[in-house]
Amino acid sequence: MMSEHDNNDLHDEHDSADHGHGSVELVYQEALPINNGKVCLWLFLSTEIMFFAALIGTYIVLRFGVAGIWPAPHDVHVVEFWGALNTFVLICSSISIVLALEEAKVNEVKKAWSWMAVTLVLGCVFLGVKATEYNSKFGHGIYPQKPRSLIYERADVYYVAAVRDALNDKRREYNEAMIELLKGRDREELNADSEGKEYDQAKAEYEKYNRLYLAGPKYTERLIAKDGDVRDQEDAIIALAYKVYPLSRFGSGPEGDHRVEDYQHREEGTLDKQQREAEQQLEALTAMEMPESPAEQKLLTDQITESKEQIDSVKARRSVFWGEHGHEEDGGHVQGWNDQYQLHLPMYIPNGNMWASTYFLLTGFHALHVLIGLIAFVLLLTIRLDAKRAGLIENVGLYWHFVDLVWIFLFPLLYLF
Amino acid sequence: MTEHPENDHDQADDHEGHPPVGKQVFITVFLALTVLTGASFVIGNYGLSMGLSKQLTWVVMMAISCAKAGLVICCFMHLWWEANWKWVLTVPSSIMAVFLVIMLIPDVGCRTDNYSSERWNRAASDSDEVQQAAPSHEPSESNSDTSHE
Repeated sequence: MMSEHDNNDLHDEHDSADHGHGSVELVYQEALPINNGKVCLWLFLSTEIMFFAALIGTYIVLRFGVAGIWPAPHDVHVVEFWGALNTFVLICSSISIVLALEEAKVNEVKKAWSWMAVTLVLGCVFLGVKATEYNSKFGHGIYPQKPRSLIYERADVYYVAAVRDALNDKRREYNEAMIELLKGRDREELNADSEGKEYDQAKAEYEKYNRLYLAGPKYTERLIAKDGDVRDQEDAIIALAYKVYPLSRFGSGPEGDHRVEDYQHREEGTLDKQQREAEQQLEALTAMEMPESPAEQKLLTDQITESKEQIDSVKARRSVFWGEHGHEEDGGHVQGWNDQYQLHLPMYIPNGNMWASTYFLLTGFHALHVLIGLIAFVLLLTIRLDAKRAGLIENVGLYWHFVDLVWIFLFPLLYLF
Repeated sequence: MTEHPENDHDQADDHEGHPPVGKQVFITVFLALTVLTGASFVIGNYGLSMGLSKQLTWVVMMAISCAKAGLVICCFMHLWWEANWKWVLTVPSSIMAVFLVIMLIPDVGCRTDNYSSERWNRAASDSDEVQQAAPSHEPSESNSDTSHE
C-alpha cells in the first residue's frame, strides 16, 4: 500500500511520470472511500444476506408449499408474546450499541462502556428467552429428529401402536414395582412391614395407566381390527391423537373442524351395545366346560381374559376417554393426556417434523450469530472505547444490526404466520 | 489497527460517511421500531378477529418487517448517509438473495402440484386433507398422463 505522502506527490510528478523509462507509473487508489475493516465487514454482511435469504427463503417456500396443513403456533408451543418480547429486546440492544458508538465518537469513554454493557446484557436476555423457549419445546417432545422427537406425521395404525407401546411401558413399570414390593409376601405382611402405602400408590398408578391403555390405544386397535366402517376407524385414530395431544384445529374453536366431536356422538351411541355384547360373550365363555387338553384350556382362559379386558376397555372408554376433559390452557388450548398425566406419548402433528427442522435451523443459526455478537461485546468491554476505537465499534454495531435485521423477519414468519 | 497514526487520518476522511444527525433521530427510529413491532404483534394475533383475511395479515406483517428493516439499514447502519459505495455491496447481494428464493419456488414450493394420489396418501397429513387437496390436482395429472401415451 502506498502512503499518503506518495499520494500527495502524485500531482507534482504527473507531468514527468514517464521519466523516459517508457512505462506508466501506477498508483494505488483505494477502491472504496472507507477503511478496510468496514469494507471487509460489509463484504461479510453481503454474504450473510445471501446466507439468511437462503434459509428464510427455503422456509417460506416450504411453509407455503406444504402438503396439507402447517402446524399452528400453539400446536408446537410457540408463544407469540415471547417472540415479540425478544424482538423488542433486540431493538433495544440495537439502539444501545448506536448510543455506545455516538458516545465513543465524542470520547465519552465511560458512557460508551455503559451502553456497550447494556447491549451485552440485552443480548444475554435474548438468548435466555430463546433457551426457555427451546426448553418448553424439548419438554414436550418436540425435537428436530428421532429418537427424541415424539412427532408423528400421520394418524395411522403405526401411530396407535406407538401410543399403545408407550402406555404399556408405563403400566408395566408400576406393575413391576408392585411385584418388587411384594417380594413373595402377601398383602397383609406388606402392611405389617409398613410398605403397604407404597404398594397402594404403585397400584393406583398402575390402574390409572391401565385405564388409559385400555380406553385409548387398546380400544382403538380393537376397532381397527374389526371389519367396520373405514371412516369410523380413521376418526377413532384422530380422536386418540386428539386425546393425547389436542391440535387446535380438531377442537371446538372457530378454526376447529369438529371431527372429533362428531365422532364422539357416533361412538357414544354404540358403547352400551358393545358392553352388552361383550358381557354376553363372557357369560357364554364362563358357562363352557373346561376342555380336557391343556392347549384348549389355554385358549379358553385366553378368550376369557380377552373378553374381560374388552369390557374394561369399553367402560374405561366411557369414563376416562370421553368422560374426562383436561382443563383449558391459555389460548383456548385443551390439555391432552401428555400434559394432564405428564406423559411422553407420541404426538400426531402433521408436518411437525418439517416445522421442527426449519424452526430449529433458523432460530439456531440466528442464536449462533447472537452468541458471536456477545463474544465481540465482551472483547470490546475490555478495551478503552474512545474516538480511536469508533471504527471498530461501528463495525461490531453493523454486525449486530444485521442480527437484529434477521430477527425482524424471523419474528412474524415463525410466530405470527 | 486504529492505533496506527496513518489510519487516524483515514478516519477523519471517513467522517462524511457518518450521520450528520443527533441522538434524537436514533431514538425516534427506535420508538418507530417498537411501535411497528407492536403493530405486527397485534395484527398477527388479532388480525383475524378484526376481519382481515389470513393472507392480508401476512402481507401487512411482511410490509411492516420491510419497513423496520429499512429503518435499521438506513439509520442504524448509516447507509442513508454513506457514499455511493453502498450500492456496490448491497445491491448485488440483495439481487442474489431474491433470485435464490425465486429459484426455489418451482422445485420446492410447487412440489405438491404434481403429486399423484398415491403420493398424497403418503403425505404428512390426515386423509381428510388429502381428499380436499387431491381432487384439484388430479385432473391435470391424469390429463398429462394420457397425453404422454
